[in-house]
Amino acid sequence: MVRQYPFGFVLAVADGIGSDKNSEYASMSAVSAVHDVFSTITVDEIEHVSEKMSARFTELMSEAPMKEAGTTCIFCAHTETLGLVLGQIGDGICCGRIEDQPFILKEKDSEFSNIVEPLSVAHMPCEWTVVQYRGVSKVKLMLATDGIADDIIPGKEIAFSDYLLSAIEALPDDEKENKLREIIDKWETPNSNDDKTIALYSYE
Amino acid sequence: MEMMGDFIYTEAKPLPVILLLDTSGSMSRDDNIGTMNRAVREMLMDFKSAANSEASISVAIVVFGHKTGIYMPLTDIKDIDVESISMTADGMTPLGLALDITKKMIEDKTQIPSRAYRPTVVLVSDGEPNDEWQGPLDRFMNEGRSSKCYRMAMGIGAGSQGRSYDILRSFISNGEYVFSASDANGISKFFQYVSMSTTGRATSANPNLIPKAASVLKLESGGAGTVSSGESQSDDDIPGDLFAF
Repeated sequence: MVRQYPFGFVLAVADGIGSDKNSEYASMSAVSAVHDVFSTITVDEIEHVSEKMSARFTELMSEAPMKEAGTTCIFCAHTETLGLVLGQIGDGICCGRIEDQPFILKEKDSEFSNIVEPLSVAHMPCEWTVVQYRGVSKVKLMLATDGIADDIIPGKEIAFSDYLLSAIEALPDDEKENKLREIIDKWETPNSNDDKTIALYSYE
Repeated sequence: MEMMGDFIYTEAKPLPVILLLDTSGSMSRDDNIGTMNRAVREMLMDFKSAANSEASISVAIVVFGHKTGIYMPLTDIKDIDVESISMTADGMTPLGLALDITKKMIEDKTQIPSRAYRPTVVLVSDGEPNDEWQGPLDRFMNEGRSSKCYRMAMGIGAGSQGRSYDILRSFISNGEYVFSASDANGISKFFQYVSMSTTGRATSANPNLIPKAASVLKLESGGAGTVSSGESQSDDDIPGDLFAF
């Protein structure tokens, strides 16, 4: 989910663990939790953003048919008061350039494909990776779930992010989303059937 | 001009299968080594037939006997010359050394990248090891990436009894049987089981989901084989019923 608010931008991508409707509910709850928290969080509370997101996720999952369902989640929030806040739990990737410097939020640490520590009520407390940058003037980021991240050749993450962003930015606004969908629909890794979700953020 | 193929893999995620095979001198008894060679070749042919699957099967063979080491490095199934598989039996049973060699392979992300599905490791032995095996087994089971592999095991003849059974029982993953074969037919059936389990994973929407041994063997519908409690010398309560073909 990508939204522009009066206070700035919030982007979140998530991938439910497993393939049933409970995992879909978990991924939607994770994305909603990110947006809900950043809609209200203050500068003084930012160091507790992980706990707040986990708590909000737990509240949303209280109505889920299966509370054990888990999900990964990657987010980017860019606001005037907070600066740039990036976070991740589970696999997937957040990478690109901040002030033209290459950036990867979290190196791939999963032992094998789809073996992750998810965001899940059953696994609380959950460990997020969160970083915050103040006063950034140039950001170009790609957020993607593991259906995309797993297929990127190690060492090519930043280059791929650069490639995608420059390809999409060059297009008129009404063609950007369709082009991104086309790239995903024509994904070149054979038999790569994991769900693919991607969000791009460019600020200058 | 840059293309997507410059940045992303153009081959499917690998599903590694590592065979850890006893080639000690006793495997020449009743030509068990010949039977094992034929069974491995048939299994590899089955893997080749699982084309267009979710995962791309790759296979490595580590042998332990007079020559202990990598008989075949991790190789994509499409590149394996099946007819060249012809192991010979000679020497002692250095299982510990073989476990260390296998673990080193598994921990190497240039050989098994983190995009790979959980590897399956298959141990076959016809007797007790006679090197320092406890430390290597403990490291294999409890440390690093090898501890997350899916593990199966078969004992041939005496290799599925007493202390040998205890070692195999320690090795296997939860929910697996310790398989026992007393003749060529049993050895062949075990490798057919490995083949069914692996191709089932490779063609599944989630290759990390391990099919239950009982469902692969179709035990509920009267599949052939006998399940019993193994003859353990240990008082430890470790799961792993004995399945005799």
